[in-house]
Amino acid sequence: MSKHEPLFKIDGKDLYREHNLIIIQVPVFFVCKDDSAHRYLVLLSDFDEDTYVVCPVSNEDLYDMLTGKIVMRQPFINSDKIYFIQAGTVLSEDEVKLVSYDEIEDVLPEKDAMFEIGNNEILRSYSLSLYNIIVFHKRLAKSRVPARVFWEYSNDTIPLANFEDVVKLNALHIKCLPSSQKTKRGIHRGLSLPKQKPKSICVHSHRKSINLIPIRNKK
Amino acid sequence: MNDGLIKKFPKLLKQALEKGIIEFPDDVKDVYCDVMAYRALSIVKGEPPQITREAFASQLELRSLYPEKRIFKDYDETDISNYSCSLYSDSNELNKAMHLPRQSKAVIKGLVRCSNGVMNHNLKTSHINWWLYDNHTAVKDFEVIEYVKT
Repeated sequence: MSKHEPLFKIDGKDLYREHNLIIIQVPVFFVCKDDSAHRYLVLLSDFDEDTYVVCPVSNEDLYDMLTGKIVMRQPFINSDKIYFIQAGTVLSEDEVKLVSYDEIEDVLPEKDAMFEIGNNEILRSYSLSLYNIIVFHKRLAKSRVPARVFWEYSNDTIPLANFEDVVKLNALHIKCLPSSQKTKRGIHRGLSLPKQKPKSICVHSHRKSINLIPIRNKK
Repeated sequence: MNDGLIKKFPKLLKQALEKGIIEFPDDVKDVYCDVMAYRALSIVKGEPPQITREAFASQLELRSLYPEKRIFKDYDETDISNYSCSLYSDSNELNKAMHLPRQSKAVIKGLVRCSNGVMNHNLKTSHINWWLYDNHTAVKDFEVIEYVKT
């Protein structure tokens, strides 16, 4: 049993649990994420039967739901796909089928139910990280230069879709990159180090590439 | 935490502590005043629901009781909170749990006593992690105050 083990497989994509939203003795409402950083809302529809309702969710809808801007069932309404999963003994034995909203409406949160973060600091922090991701992507979209952004770990290159890990680490500073004046000799002063200590962060613009080396990795 | 106390915990927690897989947070207390607390249950058996020892099982203990359930598949054995029974001293924190219609659920209320285990209590969030001793008698200190049948 590993925390890195996928919980479901949908359309060939492994889904990993990212965050529990509601725990009633066991997690009954939670968020999963695939390797491309797309998020999914998961509802445990029946513990005894081991069945789940899953839908892809945008960061915006998830954030709006967590902060009470939309009702809890709205992301399911907005989603173009809803899956019903009957868990098997192993992932490959799962029965995954597309269902309509009408078919699962009665297992969804009550019509007017709003999510309440309350005093839950962990959920507050999670919603804040979502907000940062949304803001970052908006700023990146407006930005003129970074056409592609990669975060390089050793020999691995992680595409933009997973770049949000950097965002969580105060990497809103990346938005400053087009104006290279704000970096000094390629070293971005405001960047926090992630736990995994990437060797560098490389930003590819149309004409040039800038390698950013985390300050503590600087030799 | 001394060895004598560690021996009082159930096997799963005791072994993880002895192997050094986990350790208690700094703010854990073994001596404290009784705290009134609430816990939501979704594995509800009997009608009216009975409070059994399973009602106080940690996530990892539940996994050992229901190993085939997918919901426990990715549980992290290095996270000490997965070995605790989770409660809230503010019942409002359980409100959001009540919005899910197809979940059988119950809310139990009772006293978190130091004779039954060690705990930490986040006063900001009202959340309590309660690591119960193997021979705890929490069942007799709690009652069902809300029950929703599906």
